[in-house]
Amino acid sequence: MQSRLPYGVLGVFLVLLGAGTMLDADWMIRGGALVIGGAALLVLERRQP
Amino acid sequence: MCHSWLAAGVAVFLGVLIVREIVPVVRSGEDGAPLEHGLLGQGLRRWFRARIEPLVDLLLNAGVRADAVSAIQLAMSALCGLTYARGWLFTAGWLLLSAGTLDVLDGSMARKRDAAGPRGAFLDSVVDRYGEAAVFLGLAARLRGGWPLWAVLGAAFGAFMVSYTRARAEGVGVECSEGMMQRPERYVLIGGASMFGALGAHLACAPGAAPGLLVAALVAVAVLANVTALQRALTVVRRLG
Repeated sequence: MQSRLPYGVLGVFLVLLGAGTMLDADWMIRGGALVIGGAALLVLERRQP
Repeated sequence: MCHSWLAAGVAVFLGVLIVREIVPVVRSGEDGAPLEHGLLGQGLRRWFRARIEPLVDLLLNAGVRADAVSAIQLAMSALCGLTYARGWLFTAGWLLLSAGTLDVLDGSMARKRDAAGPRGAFLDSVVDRYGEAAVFLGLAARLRGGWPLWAVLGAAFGAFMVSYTRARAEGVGVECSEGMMQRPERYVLIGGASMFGALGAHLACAPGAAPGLLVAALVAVAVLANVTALQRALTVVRRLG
């Protein structure tokens, strides 16, 4: 049933949520961690067949 | 505090996403449907559903129920309202778009599992209304100091009337789902304006300018949502003869 894992959607969600917390709340560490996690998921999305 | 470089990076990221994903859909000409079916068009809706399809499969395989996704949508909408009230416009705009995604997700899950029925549709409608109320309350709390509060009230009233006219039409046996400013359009317009307004304010180092684009979007929603509600009302009256 499952063909692809939703790395892309989750990656974009985390990157923009992290960026938002950095921009709005100055949470640079927590926001940065979310951005890095999201970027890693986007890399996984690119590697999916 | 102003984060120009970070905002520039986010703007580039969003620009790449839009050019790679959305521009081809718009250029493909699939959006030739009339505006009565919504400003976003059928092509963009189909693209969005295809994009979240893997997430639907993952959640169904994990045994997650559509009701649970609706509950998360409600929590995310409440969080969105709180972030609006606090003035975190970029985060709030993104949470609004994410809550909209969950709204589509729960329906897709129910349909794929063949569990779509009156109970789910009713619960989904109630969650949607409370979710929208939370968002508009947050916006009202943020913009309560001047005339933009009227734009929030007008947009909230229009949004509820669009849903109400459809629900009442169905109550008297008439199907009526047309209109250019439906829920996805409202989410995209308000959420997008929040995010791009906040980015612009950071890029220009002018924090006071952040709500400008959001207020313009709220005015547009206030006008177009009420026009949509009146269009629906006229359509139903005509069909009922």
